[in-house]
Amino acid sequence: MVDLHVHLGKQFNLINPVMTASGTFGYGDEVADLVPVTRFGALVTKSITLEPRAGNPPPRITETPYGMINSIGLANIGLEAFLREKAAFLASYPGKVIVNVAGRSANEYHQVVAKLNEVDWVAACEINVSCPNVSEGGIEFGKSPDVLDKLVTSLRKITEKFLIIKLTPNVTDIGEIARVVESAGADAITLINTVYGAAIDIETRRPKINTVIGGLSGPAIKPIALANIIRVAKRIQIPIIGVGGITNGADVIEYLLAGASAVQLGTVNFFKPLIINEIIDYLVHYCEEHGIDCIGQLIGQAEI
Amino acid sequence: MKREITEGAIISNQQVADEVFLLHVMAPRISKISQPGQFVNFYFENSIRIFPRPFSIAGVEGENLRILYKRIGPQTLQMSLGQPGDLVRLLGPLGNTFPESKGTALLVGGGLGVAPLLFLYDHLNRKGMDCRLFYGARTKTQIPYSCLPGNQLIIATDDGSVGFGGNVVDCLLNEIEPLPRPFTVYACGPEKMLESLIDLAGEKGFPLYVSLEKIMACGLGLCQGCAVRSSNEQEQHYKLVCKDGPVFAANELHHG
Repeated sequence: MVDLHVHLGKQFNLINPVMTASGTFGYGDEVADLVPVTRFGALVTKSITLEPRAGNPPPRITETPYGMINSIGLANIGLEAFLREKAAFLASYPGKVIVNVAGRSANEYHQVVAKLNEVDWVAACEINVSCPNVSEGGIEFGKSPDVLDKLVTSLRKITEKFLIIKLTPNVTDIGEIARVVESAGADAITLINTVYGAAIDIETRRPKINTVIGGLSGPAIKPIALANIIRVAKRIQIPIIGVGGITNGADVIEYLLAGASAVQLGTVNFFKPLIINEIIDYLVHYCEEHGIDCIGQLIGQAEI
Repeated sequence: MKREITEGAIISNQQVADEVFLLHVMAPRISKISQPGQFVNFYFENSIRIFPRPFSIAGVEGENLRILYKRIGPQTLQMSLGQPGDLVRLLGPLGNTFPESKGTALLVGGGLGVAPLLFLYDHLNRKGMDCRLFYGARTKTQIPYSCLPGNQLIIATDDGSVGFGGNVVDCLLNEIEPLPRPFTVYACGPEKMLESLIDLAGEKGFPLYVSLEKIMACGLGLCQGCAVRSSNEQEQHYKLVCKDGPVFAANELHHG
């Protein structure tokens, strides 16, 4: 019997290493009739902000080779409605519930994280300092080691929840940023958010998404994510949650070998809604075939 | 009874006009609960293009779904090569439905936009309601005659090769002048056609429902990619075509 549990520290244990990625699975309840949501080790919600956000004007998405570019702009119902409307579903969710948090200012992050600290069904906060598609906040927090240091240090003081920082690959030295985040008190790091991308319609000569530059995701970015994970794994001790372009179980194994302790499924939820079944089966099969008792034994085992 | 992902067997897949095909796919549970206005997602394995493709349900015949589609890219090329017995992966039914009509139902389809209206036409006809289909195409060879109803059909072609010479909105305008109220207009087609219909509905004061098409990554409300501006921006700034639609009352949408 293969043990798929992974332990990310601080009693943050998952029944398996596969989570949803923020912004690709709503609040979990939208597709609960269709997708076996309880098979995920954790649900990560779409980004929650203090106030509701309508999101960016269309067009918001475009398809690119083996991927897509999005510029949704953190459309969400806001903290208050989230806690009111989604509590029933999320409180009864058997796995971990990780709430992704975004903000325009440090103060906004503080307010949301402080409130979530009081909610018992919230297992962790994942701090989005890496959204490329909003004009204020988001990625600007994630690019500067100094700003990030201050933000994470202050968040650490106001929450006892497992604190995850989701980083952008759109920086010069991700290893340095990850190191700063670790020393500021984060419990884990999620790598990577989307990669800057653009596409132009050659007939209309207009950009294919409203904000011109958006975030590239999907299988196209998997090698970029893996490179970032390998770089960061050398610099920090806290666990890495890997995300970017996973479409099957073999990809999950590859992420674990590269140094991720858990993974998130993002864009694949759009085009293979039932992928979690296939992935969990594959992970068991792979471990059996390779004589692995506990999947955690694979973490960081690539010969790098 | 709910939406599901399933493998459906192709029953038939025939070319019915220039680049236009009619697919019958067996999907008993989806067929049983599908309503006019709804759509299904088709999934394509190992493709450089990752999104599923949404198609309006053009009708239900027993256990089979009817899908009318145009061969315009690699995915629809692949679909056009499907043989009877081949399996396709699909999810449905998705989206909302056309609301009930007040009085005569006037269905206005431009090009492939006629697909969901064919389902609506069947449905209304079966209920014994008065309905007429206005169908606009660029030219004669693009008209899928075998899929269109035998009566209460008014055709318009841009080049005048058959029927009314001109666009389908002008064609409708000719017909509605003498028509007794109430009537309800249902439309699906190119954006420009829908915009001029929305103008016309505002001017003449008749109820209009439009079915929209937008690029979607998921069809499930997860990606939030298919947003359209709402007319009531206080209440809800954007609506999602996949979940709030694809059918909208004209006055729900921001216009102009």
